[in-house]
Formats: sequence, structure tokens, C-alpha cells
Amino acid sequence: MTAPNAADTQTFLDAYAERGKVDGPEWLASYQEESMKLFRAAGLPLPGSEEWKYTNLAGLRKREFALAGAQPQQITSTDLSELLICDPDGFLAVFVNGVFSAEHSRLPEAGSGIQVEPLSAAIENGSPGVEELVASGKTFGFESFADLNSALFHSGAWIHVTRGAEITEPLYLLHISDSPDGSLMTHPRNVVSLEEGARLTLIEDYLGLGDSAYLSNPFTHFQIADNAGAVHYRLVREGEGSFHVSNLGVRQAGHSSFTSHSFCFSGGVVRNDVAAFLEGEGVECTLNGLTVGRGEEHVDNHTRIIHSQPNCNSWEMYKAVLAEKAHGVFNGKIYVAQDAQKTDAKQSNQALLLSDTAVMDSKPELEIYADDVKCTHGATVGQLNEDGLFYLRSRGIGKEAARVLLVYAFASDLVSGIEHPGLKAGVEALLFEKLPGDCEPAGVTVGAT
Amino acid sequence: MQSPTDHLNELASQDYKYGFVTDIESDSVPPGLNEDVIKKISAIKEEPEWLLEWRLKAYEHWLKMTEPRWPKVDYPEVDFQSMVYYSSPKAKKELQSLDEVDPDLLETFDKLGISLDEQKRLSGVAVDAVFDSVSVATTFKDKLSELGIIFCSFSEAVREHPDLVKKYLGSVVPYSDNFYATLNSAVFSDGSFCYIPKGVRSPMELSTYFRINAANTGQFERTLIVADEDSYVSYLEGCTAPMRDENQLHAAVVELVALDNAQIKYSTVQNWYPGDENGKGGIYNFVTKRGACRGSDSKISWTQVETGSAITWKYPSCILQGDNSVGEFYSVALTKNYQQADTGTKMVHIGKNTRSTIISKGISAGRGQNSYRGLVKINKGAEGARNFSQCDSMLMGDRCGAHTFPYIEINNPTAQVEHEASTSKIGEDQIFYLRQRGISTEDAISMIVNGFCKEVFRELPMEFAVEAQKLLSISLEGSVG
Repeated sequence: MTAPNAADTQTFLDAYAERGKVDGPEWLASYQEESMKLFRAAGLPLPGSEEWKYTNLAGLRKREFALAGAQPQQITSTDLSELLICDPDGFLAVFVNGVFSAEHSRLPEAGSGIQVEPLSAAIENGSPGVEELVASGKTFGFESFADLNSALFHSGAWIHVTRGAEITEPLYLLHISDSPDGSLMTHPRNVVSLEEGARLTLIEDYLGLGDSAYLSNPFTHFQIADNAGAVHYRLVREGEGSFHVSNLGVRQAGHSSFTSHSFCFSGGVVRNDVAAFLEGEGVECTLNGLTVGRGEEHVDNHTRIIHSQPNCNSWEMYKAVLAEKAHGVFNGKIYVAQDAQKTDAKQSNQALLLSDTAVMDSKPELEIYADDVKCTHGATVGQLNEDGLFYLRSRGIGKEAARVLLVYAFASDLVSGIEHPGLKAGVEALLFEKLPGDCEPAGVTVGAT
Repeated sequence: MQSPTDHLNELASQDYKYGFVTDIESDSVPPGLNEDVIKKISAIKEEPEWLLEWRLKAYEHWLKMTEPRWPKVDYPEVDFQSMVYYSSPKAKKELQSLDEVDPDLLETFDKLGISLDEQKRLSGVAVDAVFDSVSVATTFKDKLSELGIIFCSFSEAVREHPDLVKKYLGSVVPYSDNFYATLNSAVFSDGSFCYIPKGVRSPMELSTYFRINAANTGQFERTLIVADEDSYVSYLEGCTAPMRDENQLHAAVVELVALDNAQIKYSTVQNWYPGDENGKGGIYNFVTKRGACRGSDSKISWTQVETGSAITWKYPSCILQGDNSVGEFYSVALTKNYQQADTGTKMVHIGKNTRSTIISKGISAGRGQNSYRGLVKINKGAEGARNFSQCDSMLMGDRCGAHTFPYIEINNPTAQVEHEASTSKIGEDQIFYLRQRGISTEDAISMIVNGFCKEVFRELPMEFAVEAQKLLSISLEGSVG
């Protein structure tokens, strides 16, 4: 390993120094200082490192970034409803450039079983467990971007669901990056904890306004207690010039369930890291992801599922549709520890290349130390099926429409997994908007039925 | 009645059956590696100037390299300065017949079950036996030379066919390729050379038996096989090694070149000393094997059965340059006790309509760690490339591990690439089913494992398939073997 290049980290060190100590308890200051030290020692991931083999951060290294102020900010577009992917029938928390925007948000009332507030407020008020939960972010084994988030986060969402509370309405977190001059960086930190038997549906939506460069570096972690269950949707709709580096960590206790649906529709360079630790017996974990890339977009999905206890199941399905010069990367690891007998793990990665210049790199890994397990993984890469196209065209469907139909069919099993009807319609609409051909196929109804 | 677990314990702790040392005086260079040693090796072998220069260039490059640590294997530092880089049985005059061969040597071959005499008369397999680096006897040479096939030791090829060697040496695995290939390029002792001329189909399977003998001698074999247009050759490589306490390093390089319409089938059975049940001793097998399908419609097929070595680290690869060329990789790797294997293949698709197939079967027992690591790369110009990969692992016992690290890099949308992998344990219900029908546990396990590996075994040439199954049985059947 070569030593980290000091020049790479300078802009972040400067931002850290300029901001100075945050207001808040002593532990926060020392936690952030400690995290900055770790980030400084590790530096940005170097080209050629195994975890970043297919993703080049050269574009990021050249740039300088500044933190947004801690004051609430205005969105350029005032009509919030146009920015939302669906009508949030439940709760809504809006963050603009990392700062909570009370005027746009609709938080649950106290005593409703779910507590949602800006993380900065939770820290200030000393919400029970906040220190331990924030600090637990270090335990997921993420690389330096997570440390950078820990050092520089100002806010994000603090979400706590109390014992046995079943929250039926989804909670929608909208993170907007609005960086007209192209130098902004945000480090939102979302801390989610579910007590025993609690239920939660969370939508995380990262939206960029405009095409200028900025860095969005969110870090979300879940602590899921026994018998609790969370459904998580994650949308990446960042701007063309953006760098989006996200980390999602999940810790699951016995008989809990976690389902994540990740949709990446736009962004300059996108890197998503997911780590799920299955730490009790009978845990169910599902990670699904769909990437639709075109232009020169680069989307890199890294997932790790760590089975450390017996009788857990995990399913993973990541798909990518890549057009024009898009570059997709998938690296999925299933780790089965010696004690995790009777593990059933399935992983699948499929990519559809729609142009000569699209590239897909896939690395599905299994690391298994227990003998009584069923683990499979599969990966396929290919283009649209000629026979399928011919079949549709012979039935009078135009070439473009047939292509779109086939691509939609490829992507549909991930879209159909969305339980929330409004969100499903929104994702479908985005999918068609993003598909090459710019036309909706005849006979396909877009939207929820 | 023996339970499956007991049986597995028994087989996992089974001794190496081919452990013995032949006492022959060795003509060795002093331990350590420097330019003088390389010059001395080159001088002993009476090599031309260009080859010495090539070795020195490699050595110079090697000094700048660091030992790779990315494979998922764990072993103590190798001290390259304490190794002996060349040893050969005492120089004797040119041998005319088997009678002149050192009787000790012949006995060694007898113990290995490959009596040259018998081989010569009965089996129709030409054997170029490598005993600690120098070829001792070559059989059926006359018959092959009638067809224009050159099959000889590497040193002989350098003397007799320098043009061919110069043209192809390092053309597939360049001297700067990787740490161990570079080391091999600097100090390689001997190996085999094979050239099949245009339009010739080799009438017999060519075979080399390797054997590491003198203590402290790293083996640096170099094999080069060139199949000219429209030719075919099947090449066998099989190994056993004597029991030894200190680790022995084996860093071989194998280069294959297939021109238009040529086909090379390369089969390996590797059963070197794997170390004792505590993980002490055993061979480090760090091999670079690569084949280039240079011509259109050419085909290279690798088949390997790996049961030996403390550490196996090799990726027989195919560079599919010619249009419509085909690459195949069939592998069975067994690790038991403390054995570690990190093996797989690379299929690099460059030409149009190139196809590759990968079938890998890993079996882990005891504390063995078995990794598949492979690359399928479809280059931009590789229109219509096709790959199918299947990597299955079987685990026996709860202290072993099976891992899969496939890399898939696709730069052409017309490619069709499929990869699938599974990991499972030897099924209790399968054993139960067979037991119920009066088949002993041992036979049942052997049957299940053989079934698991069937797809690979059927790719082996007949004689080898028998040997491979026997080997697997010896490794698996405990007392029955």
C-alpha cells in the first residue's frame, strides 16, 4: 500500500478546521476529532485498491469542497411537491444541503411510537442511547468515507421506534443538494433504531438540483432489535456532476427482518456500500438494487452480508441497465462464519448492456467457513434478447417500444417489490424517463393500478 | 459402525502415501540468489548468450518486485536466499538405453508406478521424466520425431531448436509477468519443450512426471508447448514428491501457444506433499500457467486435479486472441488438514465469437481452505463472446472453508456471460440413502464426491482419469484406500 496522498485530504481537513468544534456535548467533539484522525490516516481510497478497483476517484481528488452553513437553507425551487417522488402520505423530513428544514417537514407527534427529529437536536437534547448509537457507526467496517462523515456530519435524521410500535405510514427522508457554484459537500448522518417487535418503512431519497459538482456523503445505520422489522427504500437522483458516496450499515438481532430496495437513477460517480450484520438466529435479510445508468454515469454497488449466527436467510438481487457510456460495478460478498450453520444465502447479479460503450464489472464473492449451509450466487451479463425483440416486432410493436418493453421486463421484478403504491408509480415513471428511447411502450400502463 | 464424522476425521488425518527420499548425490549450486548463481546455472546448462541475458533481465526486474499477498492463503515468509536454485543428479555421460540410468533413479520411478521400462513397452505413452530438474530419459522420441514432433527437455530444445525457443519463450508469460514467474524466468532449471508441426495430430499422449527430490531445492520448471496450424496435442503432467519437513517452493511456468485451428489439451494431476496433519511442511505450489489461442478456431483446454501441496496458488488461463477460439478450464481441488488452495482461471476474450467454459469443483475437509478466484474479461472488440462459469464447493467438517471470488469485466454488449456458484455440504440424506442400500459410508462418500467431480473427470484422458479417481479415493477413503 502506498501512503495516502496528503493533498487529497487537504480540502476536508481545511473544512474541518474552518468549522471548528461543533456546539454540543463533549463526546461529540472527541468523536468527531477521533474520526478525522482516522480519515486523515487512511486518506481517500487509492486507485488500485481492491475495494476501489473499478471506481476511479480522480475527478473527486481534483476538487475542493466546502461545508454548507448550519443555518436552514432555501431551496431554489419553492415547490416541494415537484421534488418528491411520491406523495408522502406519512411523515416527511426534508434536509437541504444537510440542514433540517422544519418548514417543509411533517414529523410524527410525541407518543405515537416513533420519534423523528434532526440528529443535531437529538444530540443536544441527549435522547437516550444517542451517544452509543452514533458511535456504533464505527463497527461496520466501512472505509474512510464513513470516517469522513463521522468527522463532519452536522445533522441527519434521528429515528427511534419504540417497543412493539408498528408504524404503518412510511417515513420519507428527502435530502436535497443544491450547489449552484459547485463546491458543496454534505455529510448527512441518519441513525435508525428499532426496539423489539417494532415496524418501520423508511424512504431515503437523495436528490440533486442542477448539474454542478458536489459531494454527497450520507451514512445511514440501522439497529434492529429482536423480532423487529424494517423496510428501507433508497433512491439516488443526484445531479450529473455529483459524487455520491453512501454507506448503509445494518445490525440485526434475532428473528428480525430487514429489506432494502435501492434504486439508482442518476448521479455522476455513485458508490453505495451496504453492510448487513446478521447477529441473531432466524434473521431474514433482503438486499435488492436496481441501477439505470446512461450518459457517463458510474455506479458502483458494494454489499456485504455477514452471517454470524445459525438459521439465517439472506437474499440479494442486484440488476443494472446500462446505456450509452455508463459503467456499472457490483461487488457482493456473503460471509458465513463458522457458527452460522443452516445458513441459506442467495445472491444474484444481472446486467443488461444496451450500447457498445457500456461497461459492467461484477464480482460476486462467497466466503464460507460453515459446512451445513446452502449458498449460491449467480451473475449474468448480456444484451437484449434478439428473439424477444423479434417476437414483439412480429406482433406489430415498434422497435423502440419493444426495446423499452424488454428492458422494463428485466427491471420489473425489482420495481414490483415496492409495496408502497405511490412510490412504485414514482419509480416506474422515473424508470421510463431514464430508459433509452424516450417513449412509453404502447399497451403498458405506467403508474400504479 | 463408523459415523460419517469419524470417517471424515480419519481421512482428513491420513498420511501421504508417496513419501520417501531417494539418496542420490546432487550437483547443486550454493544456496542463495545473485547474478553469479544465474550465470552458473546458465553455464552448467551451456546456454547461449541471449538466454543468459534474458535470465539476467528477469532477475533485475525481480529485485524490484514485491511478493504478492492478495491470495487468500497464509504462509510464513519465504527466504529466497536460503534456497538452492539448481541441483541435478551427478553429470553422467549421454545415456543410450535404460541400462545406463542410475538404478536408484529407476527404483524411484518404480515406486511411483511409472517404470520407464514398462511405460515404454506397454503403455504407448512417451515419458519425459524430470528428476530434480534434469531430464534423465526420454522415450518414444524416435517415433515422435518421425512425425516431426519435437518433445524434449527444455535444455535440449535450447541447444537443438534455439530459433523456436527464442521465438516463443516469454511470448505468453513475459519475464516481467508476476513475482514468481519472473523468479522462474531468472533461475528456471529445466522443463519440457514440445512443438507440433503443421497438420500433425500427436498419436500419443505426451506426459511428464515431475519429482522434487534434493532437500532445499526450489523447483523452477519451464514448459513451452507450441501447436502449429491444424495440429493437436494432449499433454499430461503429474506429480508426487517425497515427505519433507521444511517447505519447498515450486514456481513453475507453463506457456502454451495454439496457432490457427490448433488444439492443445493440458491435463494435470498434482499430488505433492501437502504437509502433515498439523500443517507442518508441504510444498508451496506457486505456478503460472497460461495459454494463448493465437490463431483463429484454436482451442486450449486445461484440466487439473489438485490434491497435494500445502499451498496451491495457480490460475491456468487462456488468452483468446484468435477469432472463434475456445478456452476451457476444468478443475477439481481438494484441501484437507491445513492445506490451502487459491486457484481458478482467467479467460480473456479478445477475438470475435470466442467462447470459454469454466467448471470448478472445490472440496474442503479438515481445516482446508479452498478458494476459487477467476476472471472473465470481455474486451471491446470481442463481438459475440460467450462464457459459462460454474463453481461448486463441497464442505466436509466444520473447520474448513470454501470461498469464491469471481471477477467479471464486460466491455462489449454482445457478450453473454453467466456465472453460477454454489456451496453445500455432503448431504446426510445422500449418505443415508446409499447406506440404506447396503453401501458402506466410505464408499458412499467416495461415490458422492466422484459424482460431484464427474464433469471434470470426464475431460481427462483415460489413463489420467483412472489415476485421478484413485488419487481422490486415496485422499478420501481413509483406511479403505
